[in-house]
Amino acid sequence: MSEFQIAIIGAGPGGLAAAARAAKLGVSHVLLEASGNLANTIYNFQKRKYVMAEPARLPLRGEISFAAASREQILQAWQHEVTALGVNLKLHAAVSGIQGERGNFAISLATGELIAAQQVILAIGLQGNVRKLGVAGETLSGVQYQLADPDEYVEETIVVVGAGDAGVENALALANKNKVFIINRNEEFSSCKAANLALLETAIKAGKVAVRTGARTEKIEINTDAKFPLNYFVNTPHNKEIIPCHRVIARLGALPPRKLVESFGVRFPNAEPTAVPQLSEHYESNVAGLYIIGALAGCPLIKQAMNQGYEVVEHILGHEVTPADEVLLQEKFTRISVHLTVAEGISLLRRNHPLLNSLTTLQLREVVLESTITSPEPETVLFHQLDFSSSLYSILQGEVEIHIAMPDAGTKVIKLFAGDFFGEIGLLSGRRRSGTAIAGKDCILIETPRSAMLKLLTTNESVQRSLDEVSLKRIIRSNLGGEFTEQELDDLVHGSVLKRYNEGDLFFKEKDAVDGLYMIRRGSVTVSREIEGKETVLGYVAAGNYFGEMALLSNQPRSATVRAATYTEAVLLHADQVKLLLSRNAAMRRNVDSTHLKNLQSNANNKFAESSEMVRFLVDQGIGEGTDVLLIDYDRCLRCDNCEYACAQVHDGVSLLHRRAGVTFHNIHIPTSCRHCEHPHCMKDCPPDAIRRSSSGEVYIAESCIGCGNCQRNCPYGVITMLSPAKQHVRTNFWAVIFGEKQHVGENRDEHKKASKCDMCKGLADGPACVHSCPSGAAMRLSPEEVMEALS
Amino acid sequence: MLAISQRPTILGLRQFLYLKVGTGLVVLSALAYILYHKHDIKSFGGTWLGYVLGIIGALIILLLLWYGVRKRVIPRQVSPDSGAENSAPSPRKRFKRSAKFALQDWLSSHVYLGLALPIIVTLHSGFQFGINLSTLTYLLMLGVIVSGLYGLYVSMNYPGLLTQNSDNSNLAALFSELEELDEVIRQRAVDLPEESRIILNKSCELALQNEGLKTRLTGIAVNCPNAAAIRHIHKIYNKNNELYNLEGIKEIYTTVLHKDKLLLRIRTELMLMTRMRIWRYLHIPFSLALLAALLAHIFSVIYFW
Repeated sequence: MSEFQIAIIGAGPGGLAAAARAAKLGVSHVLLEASGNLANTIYNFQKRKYVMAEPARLPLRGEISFAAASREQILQAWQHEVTALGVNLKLHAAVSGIQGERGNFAISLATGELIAAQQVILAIGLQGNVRKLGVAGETLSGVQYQLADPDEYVEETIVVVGAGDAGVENALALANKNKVFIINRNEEFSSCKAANLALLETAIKAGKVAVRTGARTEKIEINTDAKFPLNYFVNTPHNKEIIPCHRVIARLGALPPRKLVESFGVRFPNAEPTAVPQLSEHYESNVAGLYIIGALAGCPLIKQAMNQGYEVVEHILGHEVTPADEVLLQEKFTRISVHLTVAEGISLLRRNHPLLNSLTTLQLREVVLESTITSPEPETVLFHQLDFSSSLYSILQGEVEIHIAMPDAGTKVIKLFAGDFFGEIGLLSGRRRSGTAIAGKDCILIETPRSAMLKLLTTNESVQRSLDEVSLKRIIRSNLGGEFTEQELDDLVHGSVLKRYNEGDLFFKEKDAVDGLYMIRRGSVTVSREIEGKETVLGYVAAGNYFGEMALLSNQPRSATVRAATYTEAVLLHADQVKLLLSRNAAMRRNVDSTHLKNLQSNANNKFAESSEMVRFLVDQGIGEGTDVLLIDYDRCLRCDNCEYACAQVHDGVSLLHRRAGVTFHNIHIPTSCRHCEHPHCMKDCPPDAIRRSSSGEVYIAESCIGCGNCQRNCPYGVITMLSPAKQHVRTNFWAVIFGEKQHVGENRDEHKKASKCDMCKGLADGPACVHSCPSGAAMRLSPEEVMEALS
Repeated sequence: MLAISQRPTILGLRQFLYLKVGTGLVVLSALAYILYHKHDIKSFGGTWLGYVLGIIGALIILLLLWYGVRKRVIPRQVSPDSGAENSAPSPRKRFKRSAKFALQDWLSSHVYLGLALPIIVTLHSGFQFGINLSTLTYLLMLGVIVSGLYGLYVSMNYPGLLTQNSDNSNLAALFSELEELDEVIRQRAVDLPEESRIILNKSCELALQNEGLKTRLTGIAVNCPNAAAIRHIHKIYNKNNELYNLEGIKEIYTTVLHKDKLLLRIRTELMLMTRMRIWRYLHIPFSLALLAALLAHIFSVIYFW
């Protein structure tokens, strides 16, 4: 039995880097690889695949070179470097078991051979355990989970499921010779690299790839039609769809090979299928001397894995080594009042950020890299009630007060302490903050921006679940207004379900049996009733409110029909539990009763069969997801276009509003102008993160815009224009000024175009110029609630 | 149908605040005139009462003229709380737009003060007119007011008519519908005898944008080539001409009639738009002339004191 100081398992980027470092330092080592190739995962990439080197800011350490290049170039360079350094590589050496600990590991290979080592570096990645679709038909022939050579398929209709890098790259490669659909489970392409995203956007624009976002695979069936062997069933926010196709390629990532790793004695922190082993900051697992790096350690990026390989060998040899991102992180922790080392900071985060408990230290470091850590002075206002901001705050130390001003019940103050987080309602609903947050004494906070949180939520189920649970309790508390014991809340939450509805989906119909009380977390709904055979809209309920209490109180079937006005997430509280609570809790009873009364009154006042069509029109025009919509009353509008003129005056001579474009229904005209959506579509994939929302709600584009045009393509209302920053002029002629005639908008060259859109004249004292400069008062900017109020 | 439409118009803005202001000024001026005017003197405004009323009138005129400036120069005053993202005192403030003096307040006051003006200025004149600069100024003022009254009438009534006429569509859509109809007519005219083809093609060549001011103001086109085409088809029917396949003619006839309706809609829209705009070509030059005359009038009064 041969004995080595270090045995490295897996010849991927991490293993290679570790072995190369060991070889360079002349340490006895062996690099065991199950397959017959170096870097087998990369070897199995699509031919000529361009491999990215992210994160760009992170420096690379060690002997093995790596920069963005084609699969072939990278493999060739690595082969060359491994040979030159004299790495002791053993191919076709699959490991079947590891026993022992530091100093006396015994590694058994599938061939029966035994290898002894003092330390073991496990760098096996995840590709041995690919994730399946998990729906009926997942194993049909024609449903596959990898793609070796895209040129194999010609003139087929292919559905690619998964919008991570693998899925996007497959779709792009197939698109040249096939008809390709890409299925994204999320609304946004937040889980693929920016460069891939840009390529995908180009392909979508060129009509080469069709996209379904917010889409969930329902099932796959065999199609009896000879032309297409498969039927792929998918649910999207707007409808259900069947895509007949030749092939479904699912690229849903891979899961840790848990059983194998557990057999080595390594423990996992929880039962999540995505969970990765808990490691020390030097990547050591609970088994002394067994180190884990790369994807299995929760770091799927090549550069990270290579740095870890280098670092772990240095550590084993007793050399002082800090992670490559240490400097960047240290900078974050030095900006606060108490001086913390990165390790102290991370451990503080681990102790006091329950939401991120399930993350590994390495994942935590990544979150910190994207977040801001602050120690505000006492009494500092972090955000105001009714502000629009959507980052998530966690209290690492000290306390924070949340002041919630109630319309007629004074101000409610909630104290939060270290370990609590806040701001999740704004994050999830995209609406105004429901309270004012004020920093207390010795407060240390971590603020994670919306984009980073969304990424975390989509990739980490346990983060999603803990956020959901806390947010449910908060929603229940703030909605029902009563004082609940923790036990009562727990009961309610455990009996509740989080439900998702696409635009137009039914919550319940008139005369349905009562299932419970619904609380809207995101989106909005319309309430309607059948009047003279027509579904007539009676009302509108937005996120942060509840509905369904009428039937619950009266013990009658549903008195109205409720549909989602846009993509909506709601919590259904079980009827029996709510009734039980109502009977016990007087404050809650009062709250629900008063809502009930208000709804009864407003239903009695409503007699607008006509405006039902208007509501449908407005909902179609995005009022359900807007926060502030420009409406023009065409019975008042003098068609003078002073709104456009005023807009141009405020925005460097360019009108960002097009009065005549847009749609009209009866006297209500909705010109082409931004609705400032709750979850802005334009924000979805902005590479420089230039689209922002100010605290007063305006969605605007910052100077850092690179002019890629993603936002323009993503906006369903066509309100974004690409303009060259060169100044445009209108009405330069004296007579044109005097008589207010329209003049041709100046030359608008192709070069250096940037996106521009309505910013609601952010920062102007008089508010939006279009409204303020309308001579007849026809132009109005209204929130959806104000519009719906005006309809009743 | 919408509560939005029941908001006060510029006439009823702020519970008729500007009507009250205008009426107040008129009543005060009339009281002063009744109490202090000396009927026996031919002073041509040269009494203290005349000066006071004259100054009020001149100030009102300047204020009314300033509306034109305010409409063209968009205020860009930066709000005090901008820039500091986190210190916005009340984000809700943004929605309380009615609290500010917006352009519609300017227009509302423009209307009522403009209506009060002739009464105040007439009192200022003491009903003494002649062939002189003062009377010219007075007449110019009346010109501005009369054109303005027409403007008020169209501004209050035509937007609704325009909305009805366009019926959830818009001018661009109507024009493209027109193009499609022309294409159909052209295709169907190909097989017809030359005489008919020429007449129908003429209808297709109709350039609405070149129709004269008279058509624009009345909405009626006297020599509309499409009307000629309709008459022509009538003739074919009446003569029962063998050269024609009557079924095919019927189809063309339907299309041409459809086009006629469409033309009426477009011409009506253009007429309403023209009438809504054209008065300003009197109103604004009269205003500028009034300003010049007013300055001369004031200068002469001071110079010949």
